[in-house]
Amino acid sequence: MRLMPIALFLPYLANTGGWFLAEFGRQPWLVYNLQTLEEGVSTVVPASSIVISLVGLVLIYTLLMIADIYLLAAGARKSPELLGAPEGKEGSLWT
Amino acid sequence: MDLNILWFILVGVLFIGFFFLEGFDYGVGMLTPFAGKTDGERRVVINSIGPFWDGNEVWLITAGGAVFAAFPHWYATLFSGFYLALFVILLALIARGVSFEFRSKVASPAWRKLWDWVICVSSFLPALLWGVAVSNFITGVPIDANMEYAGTFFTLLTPFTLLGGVVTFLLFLYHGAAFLSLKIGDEAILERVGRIGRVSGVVLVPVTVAWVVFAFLTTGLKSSPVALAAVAVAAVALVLSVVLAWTKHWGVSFIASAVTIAFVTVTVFAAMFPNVMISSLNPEWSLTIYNASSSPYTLKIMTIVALCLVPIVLIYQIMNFVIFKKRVTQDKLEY
Repeated sequence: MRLMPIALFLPYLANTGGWFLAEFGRQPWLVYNLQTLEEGVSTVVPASSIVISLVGLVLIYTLLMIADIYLLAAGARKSPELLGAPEGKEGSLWT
Repeated sequence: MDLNILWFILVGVLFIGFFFLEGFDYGVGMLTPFAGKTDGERRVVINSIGPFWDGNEVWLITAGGAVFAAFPHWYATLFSGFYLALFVILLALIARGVSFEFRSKVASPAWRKLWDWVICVSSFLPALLWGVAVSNFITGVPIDANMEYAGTFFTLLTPFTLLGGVVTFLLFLYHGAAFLSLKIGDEAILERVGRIGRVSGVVLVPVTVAWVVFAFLTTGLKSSPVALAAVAVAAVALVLSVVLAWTKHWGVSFIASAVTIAFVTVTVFAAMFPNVMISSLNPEWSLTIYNASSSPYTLKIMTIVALCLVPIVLIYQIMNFVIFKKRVTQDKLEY
């Protein structure tokens, strides 16, 4: 049982690992046997726009991850009785 | 009627559905901090769109998907050309989606206030930018001989397109106020949204007239009889809606504002037909429903699939509105 909290991270590891496998495994193809990564690069969107969007996405997802971890930790600390509380009290989804 | 025209109309219908439905929930989002003064009141305002907003957003995804599958060149040119503008909309929609959920998870007033303002700003940005985007649809943007966008982000921002942004911002704000007037059972909130609705309606009329006159003088609007007829219907519906808002007939007023949104969208689509992306450099370089479309075989399969699935989507969305038709109050938050 003491090992169980570690298992929390395993699905994320498996999920991320799967994506790494899919994305790196098919290099240099973007669409397997049809289009390479270099052929797929946009000729219209400037590199600066790509940088802006990449930084923007990394930022917003980092913020969301921090907020998520905070909320999950706060939720985990609550006693089980509170989670089943009647509506309007703590534990209700819409208050 | 060939399938290219059918799919152009269908994309238009999906955008009408999106602007009509998401229009009021952008409006409600923008109104959240102003319509509700206490935490409980704001919860009522948010819950009025609680069961609907994510379903409404699906119309945009469907519209985007339909453009991608039926007119891939339109999709490619649009999404590459409007890259940063669409990115800002995307960021706003990400922030908006989580703020509805995050808001209630912590009881601290500062936390809730933060997310209320995130809801407001992330509803305002797309409401404004959609007007900028559709205005660019009818003025045309620099597109070269290879169907590629040759401008920058700032090429999209002209006085006309920014005015279009103000039109959709005010229109959605007004539409949202009309929706709240029908969905809320709390007198203090009704009082506030009623006032905002009436005032924004009065401001909306001259701004819309200015945009239409501008469009008439500078775009292809005047040469399309369908667009002219549609803009006339939209104008009558808008004036009627505002008059009905002042006499507090919110039900009919809301229907009239929905008609306004629908026919403004028809105007935009009719004004650009048969083009889907007008080139401001050379009319011959414009993307049309023929040179930008998929193969006839693809369109045929898509038509069969759409005929089977769209009625089901319509049925469950209508069921959703019927099930959650009651007004929301602080005592009855969860239906």
